[in-house]
Amino acid sequence: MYSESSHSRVPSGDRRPDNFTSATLARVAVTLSLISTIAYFLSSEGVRNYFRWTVTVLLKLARFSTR
Amino acid sequence: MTLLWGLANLLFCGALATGVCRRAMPWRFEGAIAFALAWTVSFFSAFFGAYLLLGLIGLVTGGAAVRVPLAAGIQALACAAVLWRRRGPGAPAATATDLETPRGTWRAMSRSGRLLAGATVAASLALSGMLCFEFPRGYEPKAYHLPLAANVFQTSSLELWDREYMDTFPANASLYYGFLLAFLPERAVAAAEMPLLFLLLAALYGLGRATGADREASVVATCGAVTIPIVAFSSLECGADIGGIAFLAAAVFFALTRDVARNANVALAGLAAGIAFGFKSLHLVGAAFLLLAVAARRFASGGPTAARGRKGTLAAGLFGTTFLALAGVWLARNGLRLGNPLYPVGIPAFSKFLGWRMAPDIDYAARGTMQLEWVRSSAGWLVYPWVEGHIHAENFKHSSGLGAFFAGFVPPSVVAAAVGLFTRSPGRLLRAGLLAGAAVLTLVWWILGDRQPRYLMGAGVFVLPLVAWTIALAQGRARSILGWTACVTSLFMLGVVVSRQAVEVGHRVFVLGQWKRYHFYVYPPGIDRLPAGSTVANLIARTENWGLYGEEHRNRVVNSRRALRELGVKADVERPPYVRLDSEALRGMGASHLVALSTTELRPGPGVALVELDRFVSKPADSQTEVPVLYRVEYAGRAGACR
Repeated sequence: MYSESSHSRVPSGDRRPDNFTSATLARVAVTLSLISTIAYFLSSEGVRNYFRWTVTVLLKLARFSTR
Repeated sequence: MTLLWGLANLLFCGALATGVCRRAMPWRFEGAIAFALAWTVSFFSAFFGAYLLLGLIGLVTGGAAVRVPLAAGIQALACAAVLWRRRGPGAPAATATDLETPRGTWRAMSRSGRLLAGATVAASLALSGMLCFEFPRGYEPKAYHLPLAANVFQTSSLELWDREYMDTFPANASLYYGFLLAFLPERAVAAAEMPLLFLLLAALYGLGRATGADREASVVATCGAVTIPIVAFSSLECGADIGGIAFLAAAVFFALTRDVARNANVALAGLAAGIAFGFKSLHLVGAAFLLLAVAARRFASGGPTAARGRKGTLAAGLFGTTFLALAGVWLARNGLRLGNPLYPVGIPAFSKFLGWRMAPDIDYAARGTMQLEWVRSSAGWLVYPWVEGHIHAENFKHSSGLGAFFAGFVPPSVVAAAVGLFTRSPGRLLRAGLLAGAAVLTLVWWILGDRQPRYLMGAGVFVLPLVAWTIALAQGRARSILGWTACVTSLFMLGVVVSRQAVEVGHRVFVLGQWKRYHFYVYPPGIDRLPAGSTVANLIARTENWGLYGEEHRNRVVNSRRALRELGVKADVERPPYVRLDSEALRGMGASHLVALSTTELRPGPGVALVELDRFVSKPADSQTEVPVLYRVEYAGRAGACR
């Protein structure tokens, strides 16, 4: 029913781009994706502000629970 | 009785959609996703089609035609017509992918895929549950989507509420929410975007599969899309963004991935694009692109040039006709009443050439400065997905933020798909179409100049399926890395959305004990007790409009922009320090009551007196220095007329 293709089991009806060009493209995509993700977490103002907000909320929560 | 008519609407729309799909889109030929999308588009076409037809009749005759029972009657007639006709010949056989059902997908997924899918479903359920502790929220919903919804069903007409530019947009969102508000509790309507979000997800999954991606890759890309802040936070508001992109995604699915030699697919694409336009007029650009794409695909189908040209023209004509069937009423209303079918949208030089009226309350020259809320210069958009700046540090909300999944996957997928166009791989034409669609929408967004991230959501519909394709390219360890990266980035963003919502709801409801509607919208409770048909002039701000309709939505409200303008306050001023109350202006609005801030000095002119009826008491007490106050307006010579 399912073809065991290396990492994940994919239903036999599924299509996948094949040949070595796809493998090269995939390697490029994985590299770009990792770089892009790391760049995001290092440079995003949103992430920094979210962590700041989380600390504020946790402090308020601690103060509220000890009231 | 309203409940029964509402249920009749839903029942007839459902029966009509089932009848249409059984005739034109047998699922055994087209697959479960195609069937589900066809059914949903047919359902909403029947729903909106009936109300738009009644609205058109009302606009032409000046009558009050937009009524739930009349809509049910039209839907019943259409339903009978469809079911009466014999079933046509079966559709041609489809490919192996089309024959699939979702069965077995969960078992076949990797651990990271299951974790992501499970967390997304759990977060969606938790967020929907939390929404039911609240009331419909969001700036645009409170300022105009919901007030327009109440106004349409109070006046039974699609006539303009007033001529403020915000109130002149196509209003499918208002029809949808107004219909639901007629027979559902307001708290339940707060979660009304969720069904539209599921439609978006189904369409994105279908598009991902059509690019050739496997099921897990399509599921991962779809779940990742939910975690994009402008998508996730928009789905928590009763706005028009999610509805717009959901139907645009359905239109893209039928126009770019299905067989356009079948009229049913072209018609469904046109209908979906028409509904998308009714939610957000910006999707006219996407619809125009799809019209050309359908014509080009039909033209490229083979045969003599003359015959191909005729087929292409016919396909474009069918798409255009079905699009106009659902978008035409809004275009006609604004064209006839405001002198510009796309009002208030316009490019000064272009509109002048066509003789289209521009909105006097929009400073078109200043629209270019809108982007300063997110970036310091136009070049800043090149790095926006990674920086996500915001002038007020509101980085994640319905109009801000693309999130970790987007930054980690969309730009690399666009690069991979663009490079992939130069290789001989299956599905190249579809990927080219998706890239071209995204490029066209981005270009128009850039040219129009009102550069807000959420106005690019339409382009996201074209690029997100490419993420599924890119993930599916990878095998072995590379696939595992992509899977876990998608899982981690998406879980982080889900955490952001759920925690923000949980803290907001928890603080409001459980810490402050603000459970009542007047606490949520901050207005004097006396608003809920006004006699039916009272007209309240809003002298505070646009976001107060919706609250002033009251618990039963029986009051009439004069939009703050109109009320303040007619009382001589400068345009764009909200929460004015003082207002002169001119008797004639107040009479012109039909104001029986008005609401102003306690800090606003009201100066009644000759012939006007005010009686304070009630004021908002904040909870906890003394937490607010300026509170909304409700006054009754008394006119000299007509004592008691407005009491």
